[in-house]
Amino acid sequence: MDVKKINPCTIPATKVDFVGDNRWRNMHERYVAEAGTSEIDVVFIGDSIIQQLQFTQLWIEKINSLHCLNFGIGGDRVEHLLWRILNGELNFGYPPKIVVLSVGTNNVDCTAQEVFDGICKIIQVLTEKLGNVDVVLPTLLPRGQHPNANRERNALINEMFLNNFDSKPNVYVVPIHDGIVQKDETISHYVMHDYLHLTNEAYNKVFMPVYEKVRSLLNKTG
Amino acid sequence: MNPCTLPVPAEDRDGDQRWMSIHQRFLSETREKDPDVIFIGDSILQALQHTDYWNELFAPLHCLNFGIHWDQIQNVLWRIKNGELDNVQPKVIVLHVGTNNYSNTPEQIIEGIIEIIDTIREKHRDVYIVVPTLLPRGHNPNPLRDRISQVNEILKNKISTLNKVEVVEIDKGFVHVDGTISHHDMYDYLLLTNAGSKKAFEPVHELLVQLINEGETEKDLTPSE
Ligand SMILES: [Ca+2]
Repeated sequence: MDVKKINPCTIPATKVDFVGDNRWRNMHERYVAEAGTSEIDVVFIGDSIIQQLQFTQLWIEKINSLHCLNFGIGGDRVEHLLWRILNGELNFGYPPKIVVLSVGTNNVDCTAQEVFDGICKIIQVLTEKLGNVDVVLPTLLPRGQHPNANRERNALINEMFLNNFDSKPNVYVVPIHDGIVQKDETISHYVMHDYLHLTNEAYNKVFMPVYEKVRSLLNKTG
Repeated sequence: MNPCTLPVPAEDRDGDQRWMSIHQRFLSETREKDPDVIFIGDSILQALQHTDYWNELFAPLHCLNFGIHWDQIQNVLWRIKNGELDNVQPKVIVLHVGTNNYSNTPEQIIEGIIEIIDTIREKHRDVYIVVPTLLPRGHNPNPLRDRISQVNEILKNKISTLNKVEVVEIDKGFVHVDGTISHHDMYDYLLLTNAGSKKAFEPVHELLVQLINEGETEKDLTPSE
């Protein structure tokens, strides 16, 4: 009998509010409200890597002028983001031209294939709901001061991005993961202050190619 | 037994040992640097460090920031018992922890904070310990906010009477008349924006300047031999 294991990444799920302050739900509700009332060209959507980007010099001085919204939520997994976009965060009065998507590093107990399949599902939903949208997909960043299983998984996911999305006309993979791990295999806290999140300085460098890709796509579509 | 008073390292939920790496880095900073002020605690302090407000006002006071996202009282206690305040002679230690102890009672949280203060005092007999009140959290009123208010009441009434311990009220002005907290102050209804940092930590900054200068004055008045 062919029993297929259920992939948690492809099943939309709300975040369990074990703390009891309802913050995740309230952030989601704010994003839904912003989608309904904003006129923007680009939406950044994902986990803390996206959320923290909005407090950087790169965002304030460059990215923001492209007319952007930031729908990042710290700690989000693929299935949480899937739930969010199926429940109102894409109900734009004026649909954006570009979605920048980064999620997956928090799915620490999933396989690379599971995360990849979940991200494919997100891209499918984005395309269905926003029509002729371009999806910019930065590769996942390495993490941890020393080599660890999460780094390996993220590297495998990145290979899948690079091998599978070449043929998809509306998906643009932007490799940003190189040059973060040093020769001795460690990551410096000058690059990732907690070995997961980029410092302000590192954001300027690491996310610059993402900014440039978004800008060139906007110029293309006019 | 109160879990807040039992020192433990944070659980490595993600399997990348980041918490221990961060602790090790803090240890190396205590060997390399000579801070006048050390901030030690949880997410609120860690996030503060990445604001312009910190860079402009706190960094020039020779501050080190040993905040770790998600830390609970027992984790900070473990870090202090394992060297993070050794090899340094700060004039002031700023302690903010407890907001992540969501499954503990206000009494347990207070006991844990007292345990931390006692542990600091064993290592640094004369240091000033500054304890900002815990910040409210959540967009709307919630049971955790109520618990935090109860902790703050005890902080103000009981902890503030301890010798060389200063409790600073930083939690006012965040909850609006309708009970909500704005994302302009706390972007995720927990962590401070740059504007929120200024609102909360301005009185802490003022006190630090005062305490650091007070120390200098005393030194100046000491007759030279
Ligand atoms: Ca006192």
